[in-house]
Amino acid sequence: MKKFDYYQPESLKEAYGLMEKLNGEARFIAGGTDVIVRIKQGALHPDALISLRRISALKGLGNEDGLSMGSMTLFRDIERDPAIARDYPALGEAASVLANPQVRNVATIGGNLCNAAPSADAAPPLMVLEATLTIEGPGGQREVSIEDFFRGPGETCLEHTEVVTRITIPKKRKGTGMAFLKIGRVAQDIAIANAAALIVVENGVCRKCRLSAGAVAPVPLRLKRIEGIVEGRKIEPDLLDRVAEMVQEDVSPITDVRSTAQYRKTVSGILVKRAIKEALDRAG
Amino acid sequence: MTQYSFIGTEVPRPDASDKAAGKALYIHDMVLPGMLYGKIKYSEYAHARIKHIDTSRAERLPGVRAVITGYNTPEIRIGFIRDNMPLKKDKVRQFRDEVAAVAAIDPEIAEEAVELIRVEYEELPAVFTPEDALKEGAPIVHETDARGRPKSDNLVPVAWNFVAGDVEKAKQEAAFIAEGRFQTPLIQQSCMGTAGCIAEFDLEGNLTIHTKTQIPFLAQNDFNRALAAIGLKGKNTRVTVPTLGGSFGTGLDTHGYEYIAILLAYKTGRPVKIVLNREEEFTTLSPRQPTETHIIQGCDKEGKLTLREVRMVLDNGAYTSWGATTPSVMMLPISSLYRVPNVLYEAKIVYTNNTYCQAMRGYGNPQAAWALECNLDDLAEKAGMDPFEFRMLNANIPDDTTPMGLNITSCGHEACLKTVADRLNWKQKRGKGRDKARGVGMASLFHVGGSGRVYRSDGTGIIMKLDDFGNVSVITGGIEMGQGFNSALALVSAEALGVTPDKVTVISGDTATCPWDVGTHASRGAFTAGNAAIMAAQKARDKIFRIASEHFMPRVHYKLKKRKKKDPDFEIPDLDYNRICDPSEFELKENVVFLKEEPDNPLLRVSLEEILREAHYREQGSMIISEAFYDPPNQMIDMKTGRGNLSATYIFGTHGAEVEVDRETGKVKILQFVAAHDVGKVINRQTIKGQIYGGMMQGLGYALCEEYKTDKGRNLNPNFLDYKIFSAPDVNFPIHIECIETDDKEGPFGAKGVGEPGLVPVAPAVANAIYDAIGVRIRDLPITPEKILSALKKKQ
Repeated sequence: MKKFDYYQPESLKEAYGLMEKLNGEARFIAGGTDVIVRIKQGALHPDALISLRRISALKGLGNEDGLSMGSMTLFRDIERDPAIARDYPALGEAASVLANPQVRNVATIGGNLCNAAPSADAAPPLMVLEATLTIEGPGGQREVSIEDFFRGPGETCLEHTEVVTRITIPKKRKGTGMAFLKIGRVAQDIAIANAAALIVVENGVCRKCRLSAGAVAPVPLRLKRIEGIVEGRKIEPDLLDRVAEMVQEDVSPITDVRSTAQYRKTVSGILVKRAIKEALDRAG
Repeated sequence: MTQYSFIGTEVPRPDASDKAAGKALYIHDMVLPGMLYGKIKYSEYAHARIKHIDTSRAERLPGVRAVITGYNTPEIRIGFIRDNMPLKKDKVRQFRDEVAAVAAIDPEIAEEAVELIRVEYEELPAVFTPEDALKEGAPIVHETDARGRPKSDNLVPVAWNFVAGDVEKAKQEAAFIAEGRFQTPLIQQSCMGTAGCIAEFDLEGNLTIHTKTQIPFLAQNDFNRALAAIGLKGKNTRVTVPTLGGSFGTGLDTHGYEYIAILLAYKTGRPVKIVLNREEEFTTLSPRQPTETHIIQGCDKEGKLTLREVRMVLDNGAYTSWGATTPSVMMLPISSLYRVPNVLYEAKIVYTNNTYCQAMRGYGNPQAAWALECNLDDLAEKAGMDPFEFRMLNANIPDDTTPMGLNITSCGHEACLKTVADRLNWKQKRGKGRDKARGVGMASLFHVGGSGRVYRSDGTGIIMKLDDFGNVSVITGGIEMGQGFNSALALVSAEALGVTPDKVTVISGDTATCPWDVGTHASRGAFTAGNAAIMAAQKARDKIFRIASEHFMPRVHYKLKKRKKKDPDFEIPDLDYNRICDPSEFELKENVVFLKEEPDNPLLRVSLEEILREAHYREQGSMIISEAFYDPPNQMIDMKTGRGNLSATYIFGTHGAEVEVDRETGKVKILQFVAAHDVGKVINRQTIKGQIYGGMMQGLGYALCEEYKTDKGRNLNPNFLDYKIFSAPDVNFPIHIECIETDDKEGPFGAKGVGEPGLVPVAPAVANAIYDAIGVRIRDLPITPEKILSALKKKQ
């Protein structure tokens, strides 16, 4: 493993200063469960790491008028938060099946998003919850919808000097149900496929539908074409079967050691279908 | 029934706290003064000619103390048929072939130096499946054999055949026949502690090697041969074994990295440590052999088995380990699991340019059980019989000799089958859950339970040494590798000697101080060492009682007088305190020597330690050390006829699974699991459960998810992110473990070996349950969701 310097700034300002001083040869690091692994594998060779762990502005979990999470919020805290479990169960469920408790005790939600794995478990629930990411850098602050955040495997819209500071989720509407589902080879695994659904139902008719599928394309997907088919309709078995088929058309997975592309296609459709069903049960 | 003080209790093992607290000393923790770190350069091709190795840049790197290749070190031949060398010359035959190695002052420099070594290759055509390797004109992996004679095919010159009765005739006469092809994949043993060693030489040229091995004394022999090869003929190796984090068969051979550490230590005159990292553990240790099995079984109208024909091809990889003898253990269930008169078995082992394979827990039996027990369900279906009833009809029985000449003595096979059926509620569930995609399945196992005469000796030695305080050192040649050997041995020793288990310390893992043992394998540790301990304990008791004969009464008198001093009202009974007792009058239990005639008399008791001190602290004193060597009454298999009573007794077991299959995703959910084992006698209930739980977990991984994936000989998943084993969160179902006690007459206190059996029948039990649930049979492991979906699709 290559040697590197390690910095622990106390504020964002200090962090930007360090990054500038190091001429962009440094990398920000959150929980480190991805970055350190990749350094050990020899896939990353940074001269320096700038830890975001001591920056208090990146912490905190607030649940007034929607949900606001500092990017350094630990998955273990999300998993255990009673308000998240009640109002945003899809997010709580995703947090509870990500890797294992040891990892969840250090891994952060911001880190999971910035690592931009197509299989990131935090992505599908945040996609259906239409989360907004607050991004800050030496040049100032901007807000990006999570949909526009991912650019490809390991690629985001972040500049090298920028960090994600907060993740904001709008307040939950009445009649909303949501669910997250994941399939792996064993209980502790990177997703072969994952999916989330959010449904708003009024008088038995779906008024709003948000669907997302992970690990089946270069980025976590919003399935807008299919959302359009579901909205305005009663959710019945025929429709769900059609959804499952449409998902298979809209995804473009790869074959790797975890799964074949064909199996990913098939189960992605099944997971989306089941997530809708579960969301529907919870919407009532 | 005999009443035991400690046998059959449920107690934590003696090594538990140290391991849990991180105090146990593994090879990874060991640092010796002046120690260097070794690192190995591996091949970049599956099959290539080495044209040139340039080590000059590595040699110039500051901190590097030695760089070696096959060209500047003596030739050492290693492996079961000596077809391997620690450092390759001329040709590489697999990606893991060692072409060079370095020793440096720290691991980082060693790693950097390895990267500076440049090797020029000329790539050769390669073969990656036995099928291709056996084709006319296939590239030849070894152009010559170990003796230099030309070789024109890829067959490993170790053939296994067994014939009993007339299978062809039986086929014609059979009422029902089932035929199938079954496959098992490469899988990795997945030890928590990776392999490694430290080699060091003294100034006389004697070697000490601290290493991960299950066979310290056979390794000593291997390493002494290596010493001779490097010009140190007549010098000796001392093998010591640190705490092991699992072994599962990986320690049955000596390995290239050990010889390389020896060569580096010899060259530098410093201790050299080589510890594999996880990726190296995956890519450079030998996994379990993959097999391709063609099986035919047949029965008569009533369902009695009449024939079994098994033709098997094993992928050996590029070199030959002791794993090439696994077909001998496969021969046991193939010839003798269930009663079947006509048997034909043939195993071919084929060289390829894949990683070379080795034995893993079960020693071939899981591969054999997979084909046998799945195909048996197919046959039961053809015969229109319930698979449980079918198995009961053909089950093994006590006091029976099988076609292979195995003498079955104690046998709990029927009890195991019944226990599983009861626990699973078989009658109510079998064949009735298909609407819910639920099913139950079972499978049995047959394995050696009284060691196995793989080598000419099947012996093990024990030394018992008692000190002034009544402590007992039980010194054994056997190895604790995580299986609970020390715990079993401590309880057996305590029971046999008459002390409490806390007084017993098991000492092992050093060829210089421990008595000889052939190796901890074949589920033989507790069985053989237990029997040796009983023999040694008897000798120690004889000595103790001889000393007691003179000193018991005076000691009693002394204590009574002391009591009188403290309590003047106490009346010393009128006894003959100078009496010389006969040794046969004594009994020793729980650290106290007393008279058999008066076991309950509180006055006539002397602690063991007092007697022991009497032995030491006197003129012309003596000490209590005893030894014993136990070699079980069993036979080697005759290679020509495939016959021989390999084990002193045999072990049986049946596993049952209830599963639910998700028809849309293909995922298999285990609802409950039952493991019934004929264990002879439980020694430590906690340890035996641990063995069976662990075996079951490995078996479930084998059944459902484990697969060492390769692309043209190169491993694609050399880490636990990409290679998945079953872990604790996957066990969200009840597990019922039932130990059937058959009180074996050869076993220590009736116990039989149970080290390996826990994983043997897991995969077929699960596969049979899946068939019951959804009506599809998967014949190649692992049973992935994808295979299930595609089989379901085909069925429609």
